[in-house]
Amino acid sequence: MKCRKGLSTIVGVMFAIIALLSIVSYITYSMNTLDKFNQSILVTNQENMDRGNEEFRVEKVTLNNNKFNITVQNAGNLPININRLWVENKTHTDDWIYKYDINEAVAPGGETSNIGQNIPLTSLDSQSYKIMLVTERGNSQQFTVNSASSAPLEIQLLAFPPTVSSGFTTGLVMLVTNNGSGTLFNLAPQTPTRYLPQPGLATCELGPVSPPSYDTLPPGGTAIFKWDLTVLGNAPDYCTYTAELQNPYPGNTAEATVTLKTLKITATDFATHAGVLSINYTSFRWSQGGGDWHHDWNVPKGSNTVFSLDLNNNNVTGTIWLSNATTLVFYSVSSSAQVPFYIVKNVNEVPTPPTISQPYTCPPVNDYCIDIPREEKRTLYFAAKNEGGNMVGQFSTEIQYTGFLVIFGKYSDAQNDAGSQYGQNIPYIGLLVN
Amino acid sequence: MRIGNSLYNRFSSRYHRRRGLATVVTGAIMLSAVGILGTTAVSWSNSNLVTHQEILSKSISDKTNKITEFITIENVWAGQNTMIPPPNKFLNVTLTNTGNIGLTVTEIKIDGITSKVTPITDGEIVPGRSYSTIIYYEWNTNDVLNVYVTTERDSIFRTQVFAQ
Repeated sequence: MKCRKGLSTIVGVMFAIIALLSIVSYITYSMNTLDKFNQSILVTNQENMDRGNEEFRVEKVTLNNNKFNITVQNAGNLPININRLWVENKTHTDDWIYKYDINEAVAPGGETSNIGQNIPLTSLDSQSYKIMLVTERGNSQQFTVNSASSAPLEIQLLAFPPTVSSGFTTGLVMLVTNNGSGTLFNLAPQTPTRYLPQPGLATCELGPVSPPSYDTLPPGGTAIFKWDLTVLGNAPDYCTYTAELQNPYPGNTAEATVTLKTLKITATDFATHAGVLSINYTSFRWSQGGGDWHHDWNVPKGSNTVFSLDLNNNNVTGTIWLSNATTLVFYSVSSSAQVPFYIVKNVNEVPTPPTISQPYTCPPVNDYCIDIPREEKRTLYFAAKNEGGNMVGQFSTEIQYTGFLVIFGKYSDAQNDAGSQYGQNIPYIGLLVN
Repeated sequence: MRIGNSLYNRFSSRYHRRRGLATVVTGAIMLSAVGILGTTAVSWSNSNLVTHQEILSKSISDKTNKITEFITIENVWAGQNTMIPPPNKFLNVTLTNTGNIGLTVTEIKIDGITSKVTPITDGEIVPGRSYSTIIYYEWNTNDVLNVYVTTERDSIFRTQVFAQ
């Protein structure tokens, strides 16, 4: 009995072992299978991430020997392999598309040129092409070459300034904005053509364009081409120019007109725009002593009067030295009366009447005592009855006066240098003496 | 007492012989039953496990293949075949297998102003290779077209193009 009971136990244990082995092997197999599945998910995720991280851009496209020469930069951190080149002719009437298998590896951060040199396709400057590069991972870059003709671009032609005087030069500026979604390559303008209506034509001379072309123009970018335009004639003669790009889209043009105007320069304009001398009218003031400076235009007669104002030297290169002949002179608007106040170095407005504290003397020359460096201003005082004198002038007649600042000076590096003499009259000062 | 002892011994002897046979029979039956039941149970469980293994294996394999396959819709360009009378506009669709396993394209659907599903019968693409096909579809310039590519594993890849 003991032996039989042992046999059953052994048989039972064997079955149990078989069952356990089956379960263990099943669980092991399942876990291995799931592990492989996990690995494949990881690999797929990695591939998708690589696909997303791939980044390259087209740096330059030229035509060498009637073949494309495309330069590509790998801007990402993964090596890429460009294995397909699509070329679509956008000019040709049948609009053909060709696909070429290429094999160009680009290392991270590196560049590869000459893409397109080995394909059996002849490319022409006069035709536009849509090109697409495809990488091994399936990413692509699409761009167009010589493609101004494929779609209208935003073109503006502007003259800066639009009105000039005869003999002056204006700038003709062409702005081309890429309002498409693809990068443009080899963008170049044609020389603007003249619109020739009659009459009223000026003689216009157009200079060379700068720059002659843009290698690339990304979406949203603007290319700027500039010509110098010299205009000769009589106001209001004009020149009208029409500009367009090479290989243009039909009707995609822009127009600008430059009109001649007569040159008008007032003394103040001249002082301001020609860059010589000007005064700040708000700085004009007078005093009859007592320490008071007045900015109004009512000046009592019969009292010694001193004046002060700020003079600007707008010249950007030279220092002006003021002569002792520089005068603030007032002319009567109703008679021939005139009252000069010559320049002095300083006045004393505290006592009544005011005095000249520093006459316009500077031995041994006694002239050109005050200088105004370039692009600076100086407060000047006018009080003397005579050149270099120390007697203060005054008004004796009740009357309206119009005032002028008559400046005599020289542009020189030093007081004793001969320099170049310069004289100017600055008007628009008014006084009512009562 | 002697008679009693004699009978006892006789019966006892007979009884002992019967009891031994029954035990053997019972043991044999029990052993057979255990064997049969054990074998059946083990066979059944093994069979179940094998079936489950196969199901699991196929399921995992299908899913692995499905997540591994990848198509790039490389280019879709619109054209017109002027050699034939209208309707003669078409779309040339180029697909590239950028995954790691071979796949079979079963249909391409163009969805624009109108929708068209085109079954593909020769769409087997090995990894790294391309497949191009022409689908006649009456597009208009600047139409926005959605292109759906379905594979045998029921993966759907989609892109959008402008008809130009």
